[in-house]
Amino acid sequence: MLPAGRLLYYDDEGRPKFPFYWTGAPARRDAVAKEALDADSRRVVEVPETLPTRVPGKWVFCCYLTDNPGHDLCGMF
Amino acid sequence: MNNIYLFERGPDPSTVAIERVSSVEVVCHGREGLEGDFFYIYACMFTKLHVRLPLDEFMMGVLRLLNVTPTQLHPNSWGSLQAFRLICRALYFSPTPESFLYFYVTRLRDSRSWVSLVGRPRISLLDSFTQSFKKFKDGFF
Repeated sequence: MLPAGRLLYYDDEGRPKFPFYWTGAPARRDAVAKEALDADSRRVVEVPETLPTRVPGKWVFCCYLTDNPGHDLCGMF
Repeated sequence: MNNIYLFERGPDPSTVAIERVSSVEVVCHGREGLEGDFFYIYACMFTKLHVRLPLDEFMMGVLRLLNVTPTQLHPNSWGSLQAFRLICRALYFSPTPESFLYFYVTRLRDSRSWVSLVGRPRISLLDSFTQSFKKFKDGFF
């Protein structure tokens, strides 16, 4: 980690923004109710839920390799 | 390592220095007395999963909520995370860690193993990958 990296990878109080080293206590995440999400997260969740099909993960990855990934991904729906 | 795309916008040697690991290092090691902070990343995250440095706030937020280091999250789950980023980009939304994790629950075999995300039944957004990443464990820096 170089000095300029501290601006990216540490918060204002100097703490790393994520664990840099293997942790002995990963957090367990159980199913969360949509109502428990903050407003921004709920908005993000609700739009993909209206999409007509489940998206094949492997195809989404192919879109990363194109010149216009966002546009090409929309073509899959 | 010279032929792997690591950075989002071309080489950026000012934030992190990329170093090869020594033959005795393993990803679950801590600092082991070394000076300065660092983190490990699997090579497949760049070569196969299109992860680029610097890690963005969304990625770091997911790692923070899961309390895992990048190599502790199974590459298949990194694949889901990257796919979610792209879906949000296509829909002109900024992904939030909570919105991504809403679609998943964690699967922990034990605290020393990799953490996997499993899509929730009925609300799963992505079809899961049909195969699991293999042979990713030895390629990291």
